[in-house]
Amino acid sequence: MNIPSKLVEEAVNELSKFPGIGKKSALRMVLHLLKHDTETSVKLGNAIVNMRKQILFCTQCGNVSDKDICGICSSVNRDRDKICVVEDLRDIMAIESTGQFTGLYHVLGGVLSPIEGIGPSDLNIDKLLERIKTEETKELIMALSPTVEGDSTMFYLTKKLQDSPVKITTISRGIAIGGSLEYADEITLGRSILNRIGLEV
Amino acid sequence: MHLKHLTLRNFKNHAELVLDFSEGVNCITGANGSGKTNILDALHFLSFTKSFLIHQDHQLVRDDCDSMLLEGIYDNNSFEQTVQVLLKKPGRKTFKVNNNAVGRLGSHIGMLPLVLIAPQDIWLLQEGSSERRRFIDMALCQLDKQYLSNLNLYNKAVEHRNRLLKQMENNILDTEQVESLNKVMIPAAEYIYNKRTLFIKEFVPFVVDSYHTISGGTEVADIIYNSPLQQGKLGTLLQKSIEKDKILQRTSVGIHKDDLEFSLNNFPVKTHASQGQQKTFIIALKMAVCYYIYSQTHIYPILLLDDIFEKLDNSRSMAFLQMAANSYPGQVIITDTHIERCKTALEQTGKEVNYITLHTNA
Repeated sequence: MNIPSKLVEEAVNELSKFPGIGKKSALRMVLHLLKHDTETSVKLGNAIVNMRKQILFCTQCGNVSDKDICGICSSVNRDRDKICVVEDLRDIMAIESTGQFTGLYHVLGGVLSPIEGIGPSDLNIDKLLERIKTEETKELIMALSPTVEGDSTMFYLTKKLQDSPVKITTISRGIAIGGSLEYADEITLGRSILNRIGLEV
Repeated sequence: MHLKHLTLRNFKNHAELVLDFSEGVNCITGANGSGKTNILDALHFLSFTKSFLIHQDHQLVRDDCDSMLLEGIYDNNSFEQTVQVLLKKPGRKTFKVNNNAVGRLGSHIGMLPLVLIAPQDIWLLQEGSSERRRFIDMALCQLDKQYLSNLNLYNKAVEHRNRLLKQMENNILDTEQVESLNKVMIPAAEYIYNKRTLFIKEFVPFVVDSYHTISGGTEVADIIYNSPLQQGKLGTLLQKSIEKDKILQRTSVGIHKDDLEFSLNNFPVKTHASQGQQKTFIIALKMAVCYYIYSQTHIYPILLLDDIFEKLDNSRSMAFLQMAANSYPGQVIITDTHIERCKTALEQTGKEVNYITLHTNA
């Protein structure tokens, strides 16, 4: 792509570093900014710079936060005896939007993946072990993706905690609610039929 | 189930090719380099979501083109089924069945059962054990979705585990991480081991039958399945071999070490059988897969015969062609360089044959 202006080219290069954004989309974004007055670009620039400079990570759970301790960890309405372990911030947002979980979270910042060179020291694991020792945790809920990496991370944490009295659970895996059985993918349906749940009236 | 129409666009050497197939025997003839095998490869792609010759998809796109398209229209129990693959360079392949995108490619494998007999099959006897595991996997993946998913899971976990063994610093291994990966591997490995054991047990009688029919002789074919898991539970085996694994820097035990032993009258085929017997054995194996798949699904896989005259002598290949044309109830697609040779062989069967002649690309 031949861009006639060095300034535009630089902006396009920077924007195309975003996940899912290629050169063409980046150019569209730049052209959009050019169509509007300078103020729009300044606002955007400031918002990004301020966000990045001032953002904090909760010293307890690793969630993004505007203060040292995030809104969830500092809330008096949360059950402090449950910690839900997640990979990243998006998982917290997803679980929070269900409105079904009232405990605390812990953000690992990824999962173990030797192939990509991600080991235990790259994840927020030590802090989790410390929290379990010092907080009133009774149950640890693993909400990690059902992949090789997610599963082995789950087993790794369980192993690290085998001498601790904390109960370790994992979110259940199975058929999507409201979906019809015939459309469920066969792997999920196969697992679900193996891991049945007792029914009572 | 059978293929009715096939369209290739910018696939390997074919710029644009539209072919009609008949339900019974089809014979594709043309000179060397006219792209006969590529047509079979296209059908392989439509069934298995990948080529049997080339591992990198983008190499399938015709030179100087940036995308390719394959479309097969199949008759599935008299329902028409259109399967379409679009591959853009760079980018991923997209599969569509009746215009609906296929989300997980693994779920498509097995929808269009297919068995290919090609000159490369001799690798089954001559190459390492991975070829023989691929043979079992190709058969079982068409029948069992959980098998493929467990296999992928297992392979990924072994890859992670080997990486840990290689990355060891100062000879210290993160045993907790290794054991976590073991935990992921074990259930997947047991599933695959049980499926493979059961498969070989049920499959051998089909091979015995097929070999008998094709050779017309009295030799008895047999397959023995060897797996480290026959020595005990994978968990124990992994624990026992950890010191060895550290030295080798890879996982030395597991279903990725499984192998098959092929024999005729209790003598190994690889060392004791003649070239002709070896080829006959391979054809018997593949025909047995067709009949086995039928026994499980009540669908006869599409049978592709690539260059069958390559290794067999004329009389044996004639006999085999006639047998396939006469007695195989499913669709058969044959390639050969000599139309006359095919015609002579097939005319004797009295079956109607659909001849397709390819011309070398100008």
